[in-house]
Amino acid sequence: MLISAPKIHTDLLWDLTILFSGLGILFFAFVFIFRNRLSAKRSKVSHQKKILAPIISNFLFYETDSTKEENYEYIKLKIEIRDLLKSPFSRLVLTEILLDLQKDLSGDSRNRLYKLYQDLELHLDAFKKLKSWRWELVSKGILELAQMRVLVAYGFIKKFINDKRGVVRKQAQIATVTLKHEGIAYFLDTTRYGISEWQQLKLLDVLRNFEDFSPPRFKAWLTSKNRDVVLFALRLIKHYNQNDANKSMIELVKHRNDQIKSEAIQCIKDFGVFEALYTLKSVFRNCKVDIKLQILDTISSLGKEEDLEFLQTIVNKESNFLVKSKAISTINAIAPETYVPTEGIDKNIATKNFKNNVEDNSTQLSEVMNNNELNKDDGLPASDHEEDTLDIQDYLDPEFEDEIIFDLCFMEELDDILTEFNESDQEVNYLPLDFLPMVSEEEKIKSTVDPQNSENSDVEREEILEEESFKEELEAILDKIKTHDEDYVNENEEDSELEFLPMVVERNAEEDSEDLITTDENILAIEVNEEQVIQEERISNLHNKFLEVDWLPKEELESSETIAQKSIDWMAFAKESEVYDNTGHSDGLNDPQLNYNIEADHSDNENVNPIQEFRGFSIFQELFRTCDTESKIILLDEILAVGDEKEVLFLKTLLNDSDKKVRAKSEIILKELQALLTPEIETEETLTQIQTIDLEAQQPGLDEQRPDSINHINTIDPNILDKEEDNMKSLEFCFLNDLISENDNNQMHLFELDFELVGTPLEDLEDDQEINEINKKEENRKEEKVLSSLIGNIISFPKKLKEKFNG
Amino acid sequence: MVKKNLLLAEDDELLASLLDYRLQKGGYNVHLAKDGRDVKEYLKTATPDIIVSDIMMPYFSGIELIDYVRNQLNSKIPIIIISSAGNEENVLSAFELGANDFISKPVSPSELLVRVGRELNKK
Repeated sequence: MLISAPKIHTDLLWDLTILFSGLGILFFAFVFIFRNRLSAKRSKVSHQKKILAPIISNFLFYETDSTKEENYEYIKLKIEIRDLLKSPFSRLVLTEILLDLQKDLSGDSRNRLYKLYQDLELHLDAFKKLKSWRWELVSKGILELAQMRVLVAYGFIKKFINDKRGVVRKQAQIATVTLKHEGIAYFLDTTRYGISEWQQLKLLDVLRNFEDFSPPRFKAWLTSKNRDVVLFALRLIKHYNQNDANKSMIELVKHRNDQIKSEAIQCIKDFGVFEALYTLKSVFRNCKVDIKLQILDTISSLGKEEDLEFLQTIVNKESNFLVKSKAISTINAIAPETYVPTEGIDKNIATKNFKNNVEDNSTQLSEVMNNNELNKDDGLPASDHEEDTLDIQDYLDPEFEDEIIFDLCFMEELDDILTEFNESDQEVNYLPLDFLPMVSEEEKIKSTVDPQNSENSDVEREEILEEESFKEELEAILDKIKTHDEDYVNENEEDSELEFLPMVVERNAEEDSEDLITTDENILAIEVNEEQVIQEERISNLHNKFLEVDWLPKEELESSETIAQKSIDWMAFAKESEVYDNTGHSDGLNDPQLNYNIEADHSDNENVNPIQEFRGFSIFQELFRTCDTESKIILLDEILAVGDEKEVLFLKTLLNDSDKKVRAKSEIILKELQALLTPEIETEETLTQIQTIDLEAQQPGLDEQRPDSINHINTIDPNILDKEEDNMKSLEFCFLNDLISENDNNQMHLFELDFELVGTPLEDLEDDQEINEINKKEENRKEEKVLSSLIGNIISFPKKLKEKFNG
Repeated sequence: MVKKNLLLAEDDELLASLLDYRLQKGGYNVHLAKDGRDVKEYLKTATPDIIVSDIMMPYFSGIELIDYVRNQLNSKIPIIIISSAGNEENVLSAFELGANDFISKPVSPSELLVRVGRELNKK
């Protein structure tokens, strides 16, 4: 849709065009006319000035001793100007010329100008203006009369002092003061209106320019009811140094008006009115901040020592920073250096000096005292001496001297330790507690050799907090292991730090007795015995973490203790069966103390059957804690394949299991395992019976094959077994290996293989070859375990331990 | 007796006329210049015995006049400066450029006459 222009009649457009054109013409005509009039007037005034200027110059510089020609010229000009003055415009221009000239002329020329102004009766025009109803004309008339010093106009102008019109009033006040010297007095006496600051300045400027002016005693107006008159009078008093109004000024300090009060205080300060100090102090509290500062400034000029108490009270009680600071400044003005600089001052410098003195020689304290007394004599501020004296006296107090020395030493040590700590690269988990005094409580972990006799071999154990020291010590220990240092196990403090590790006993398989075959291990046992004594909360977190490492689960600490006891029993059994090799690899067994205990234990337990007493820790026990019933059934099958005496004990515990399936299966496996573990004792008939029971229960289709397989197992050549056992390790070591090298999966195939075996049901055992393969795998697995050397595990232990700590 | 030529540079016509009258009456041949351009034009054609100049003038200030006379004309004509009250900085500048004397407003014509005579007598 297109927008169409509104339909307007053409005549209307023409009318509007004519109208606005006319208005434009009128506007430009108006501007042109007024511009021409102003220009004409300006040119006319200029022309008139050119005519009047020489006349005025002639009049101004006319001298009676002039020549006749000059006199003739002067008379001629006088007649001429009389004619000109008949014209108001000429009078106006002449007045303007004279007013301009009086600004640029001075001295005698100006006085002549004043005289000429009155001789030409131009002042009559100004008087006429005073009668005008227009305030600007009145003001202009007053100004003209005042500038041209028309003294006869004084009486007329002073009537306007209290005029309602502000401009007229102010002009009249200035004119009154200007025309006559007594004008200021009249003005101060009669003015009822306020006097602005600007007006006061202008009046003061007029008074300053007076020649031969003798000012009145302005104290007379200090009693004026006009507040501004009092204030102006005070300023005039100060300007003219009229110090005869002390009493009035002291009273004006109590004035409610702050301006008057401030001016009075300023006068008191300038005139040195000492008797005003009491009044100043009296009014101080009720004054505003600026007045307080002014009073303090006055006191600093006039005050004496008896005023210090008042000033000190201000310093103590005043909350305003400016006032307080000014009071301190005032005190220092009266008593120099009463207050010394305190901001940014190291207050410990004196203390440190003293501290050094204490460390060096306590007798130097007296020297400090003597020095302080000498300084007193030097005239130093009393306050400084008091502070120093008090400090030193406190230090010298015999009751506190020991405490002070201790505190100083402690703080020094603390500073050094904290500095070192900040500079060192601290681990996240490392708690900065090592700055504490070395009040470590020795943790003693007792390795119980013979729990039955309760004779324990106590080995001191220290907390190992730093990894580096641990590594160094570990290396030293390993070196000793390699060199078979016999003194290694002796009361060496460093050795004791390895006590958290399980006691490792490696035995020479060649000297093993036949009884050990039933353990299905080569002669290598790991004895782990930890009695953690965590009784005090002051033990560091690291130490706690260290103690809480899952060597064994917490819940089973008690059982582990039992296991450890059982392990030691096993060692006793080994000793009894003369398996120990004095030249063997077991450093732990070379410990005389340990040997002594073992021997003692052996002597005490001669009648104990070692096989019966032998107990071990079943690796399946841990697995059983977390698995379900089905898994337990599978694990039980594996116990039969890999289990030994320890599993027998564990199976016995399972006979009381809450699950019926587990109980039944455990019973079966227990019987089978016991049969396997006693091949030489039990007859083939018994085994067959067990197998038959087993086959009847689970694998009825294996009636003919099972006995062969069992026979195959039980008819292994003993010589071959002995050779294999040389490289076989105990299952406890597997468990330990798992705990130590958790991430080393290559060395920990045991459980993986187990699960593979678990996946192999018993019915598959009908194949003898498979059984042989399983046995071979089991043997290979044991060989791998042997390959994972103990030393390697020990070396890698700190790293793994650290990884465990870091989560 | 030959009258000395005096160049009076003042933009206020009334004051210039008054001073002109007084100086002429004092025996000087006064040439009036209402601004700096007139001064420069006059100085191109004539060489006055003394110059009395206001500091504040249109087109060409009294300071520039001094600089022009001293540095471009290389003339040692005595120069008296008329300055307003409170214009001390310009007075100092004028003296640094080579002004011989100064007189402040309001001017006393009699005083100016004395100062002009003194400067000419120095010459």
